[in-house]
Amino acid sequence: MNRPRTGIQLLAGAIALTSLTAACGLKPDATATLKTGAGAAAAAASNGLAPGAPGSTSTAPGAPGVTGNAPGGTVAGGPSGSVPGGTVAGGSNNGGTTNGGTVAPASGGACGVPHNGTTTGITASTLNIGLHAPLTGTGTPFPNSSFQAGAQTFWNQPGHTVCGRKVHVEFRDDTYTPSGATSVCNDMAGKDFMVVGGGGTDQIQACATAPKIQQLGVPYLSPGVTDNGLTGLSNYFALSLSYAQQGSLVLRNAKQQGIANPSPSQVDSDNISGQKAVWAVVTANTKNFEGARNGIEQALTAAHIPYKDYKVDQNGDYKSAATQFGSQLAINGFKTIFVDAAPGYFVFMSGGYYGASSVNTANWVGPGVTYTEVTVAQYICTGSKNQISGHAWFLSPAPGLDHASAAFKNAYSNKYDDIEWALWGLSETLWNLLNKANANLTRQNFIASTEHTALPAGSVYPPLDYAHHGGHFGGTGAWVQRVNCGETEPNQNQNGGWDTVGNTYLRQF
Amino acid sequence: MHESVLAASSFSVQLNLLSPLINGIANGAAYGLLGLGLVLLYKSNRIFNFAQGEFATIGAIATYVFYAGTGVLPKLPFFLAALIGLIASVGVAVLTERLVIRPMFDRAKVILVVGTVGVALLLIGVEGLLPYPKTQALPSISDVFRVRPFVTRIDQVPVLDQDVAMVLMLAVLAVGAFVFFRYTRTGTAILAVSQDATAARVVGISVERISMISWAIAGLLGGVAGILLAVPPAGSVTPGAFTGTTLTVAFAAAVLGGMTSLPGAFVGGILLGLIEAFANSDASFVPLLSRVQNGQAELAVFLVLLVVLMFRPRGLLGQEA
Repeated sequence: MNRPRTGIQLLAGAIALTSLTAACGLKPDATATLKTGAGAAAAAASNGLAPGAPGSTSTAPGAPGVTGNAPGGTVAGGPSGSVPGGTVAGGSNNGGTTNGGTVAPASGGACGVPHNGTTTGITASTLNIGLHAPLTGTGTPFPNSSFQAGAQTFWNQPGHTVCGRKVHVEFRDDTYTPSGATSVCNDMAGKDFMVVGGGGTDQIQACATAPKIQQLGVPYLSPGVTDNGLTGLSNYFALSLSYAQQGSLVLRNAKQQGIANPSPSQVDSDNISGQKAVWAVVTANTKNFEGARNGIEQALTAAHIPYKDYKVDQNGDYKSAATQFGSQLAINGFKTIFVDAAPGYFVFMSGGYYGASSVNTANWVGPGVTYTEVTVAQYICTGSKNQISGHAWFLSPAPGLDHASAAFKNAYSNKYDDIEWALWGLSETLWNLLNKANANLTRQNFIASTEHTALPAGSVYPPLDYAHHGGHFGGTGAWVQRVNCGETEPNQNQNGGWDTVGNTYLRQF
Repeated sequence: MHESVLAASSFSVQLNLLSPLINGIANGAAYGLLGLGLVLLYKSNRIFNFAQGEFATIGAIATYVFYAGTGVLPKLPFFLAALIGLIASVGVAVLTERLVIRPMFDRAKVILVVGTVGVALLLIGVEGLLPYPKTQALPSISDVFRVRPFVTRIDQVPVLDQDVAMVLMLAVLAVGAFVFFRYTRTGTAILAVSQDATAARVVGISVERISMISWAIAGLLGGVAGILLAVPPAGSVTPGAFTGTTLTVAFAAAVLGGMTSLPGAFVGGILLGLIEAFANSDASFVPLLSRVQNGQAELAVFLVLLVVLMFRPRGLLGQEA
């Protein structure tokens, strides 16, 4: 008769331990479905035809053998041309096998022989890029195989080489955990020329600061998310605006759409005494989201718009808490809600809002990147019974699929989604940056080159300018996307997607 | 910068009492529905079934694909689709018993528990491979009957049809299961097998048959839970959704109520839902709690669980089987 009691006590102990660790802010991976996140890159993509972009798909760097002509026509060049032409063969460590010899020049400048630096991941004919993103694991917010499926597609297109080198993308599943990201990034640091983060703020941060990434000076690039812990890293490059930088753009878009000054809620504001809050500012209660919070709150205060600040806990199982919180936002009468937290939190919160009120119609706004993934649209449409359609506006480094270029569609044989579109834009940007440094493709020179580079708009991303913004956070603008519960993306079998708002991105710089 | 998680700096009946009360009962019913199946299998087999969440998911998925007419499947009326969903849940549970539990029946219980973890992971993987829209949800009661989504509003806080249905279903199932174990021969046989399988076999009870019946009932309870929980605003037919977000809390609810008590699953579930809801609601009117921003719900659950187990180790309603 004692065994049952022992079993119960063991189970109780396990549950208590789980509760305690969750309460202490530790995140047991196993409880993390639809958890964290903010993430990342996926949605980054987008498509071409950025207004004003010099050319669309043809803005890509020229094919090997072409000299001169910066990609797409622009801008402040990096040190590519300033590096002495090469004589040194091979790289300095970790398996670099560059074997000297001249390489056909690319459009960022004459192709040179890599020298005086690390050439891990480069040979005379190949260049390896590491890419990590969430694919599996209980922590993955929205399992989607498109990261893996689309990783190589851009580089398989004719002419998409770097000084004649075929680019190979090594995709690794980071399981949506910082420890998983650290593990795969430490591994990729020893094999790949550069590493790129595809999704997840926490994972991007963990990878950028992974021991081997830092020790070996591996260039690490990702769409802009948080700046917490990434500012000051010499090897980190944000490929789009950070959360903090997007705050004023979120407000600008809200003004343009006429949703910046709805009727006030029943709650006292935090920034203007004696007034009721008009906006609810909902952010995850971690350091990674401080930038987003400060960015929008400074913009609202400058515009004399009263807001109420809500920091939400997304540790552990937050499903019931998020749903309950959403219903209370509705009861409090909020009509414009800024949100930057785990995508899953947004899904449950918005569901709770519409579950509590079929009368109130909120407009949800916030920065990019992950929220504009198609899977987020599908979940919020389902959770709100489509009431949210047309009322969620989020920024993104990329426009929606309605701007997808013909080259992209052809490459994917007309079966694509916005994650693949994001990867297309990400890859195109990497291509341009690599070609800027092609006179001496070492890790050290790539970092130095990128710090001084400015790129025009590509076929997907807005212009990038590291040269005039401190060298590492190069985003200059963002696209606006609006949820549409009535559409279905080409390779999806369920409704929900995002439409581009307007024909141009919002410029920050 | 305000530090509270939810609004209000003074006590609000609406936000600090009614809203968490109604939300807590609704969430607690969800925990209780899953907890019922856990208690049943613990009561009958003495194992913790980590696959219970996936029995629920399978039921929800099967219901969805037949209700929506996914792919080549016919589009069926909701209740017919739900019946297929329940059959699917029972089928998976019976298969689990035949292929995993029964071959290892004489092994240590911990091995069987690990076996159920394996079943859960396998089912999540299989569900991920199935070609159906994974972000969708089942229709709620109000959608099925085409009525307004809430029974009433109390000071603006809606009492949803779906939540009322869940609480009623939970009560009916808990009482029904209690009656089953107390007053039927099969129920008594299940208890006899759980206490001493050899002795039960000696008096003519088929242990294998009883085991299969127990798992079939657990599958049925899981299916009911899945069909009621996979609805908007927070539910969906996503693979692993119940295992990832609800099962752990359901375990805690079952322990709180008493792992050997079916009505205890009801009580434990509702109690846990209320604890979470009140802990998650705004407490800024309480000076000390206004500073708490992280993990208040988990902390509250932990403390209550600790206190209950210290003074009543078998749970609130638990007793020796």
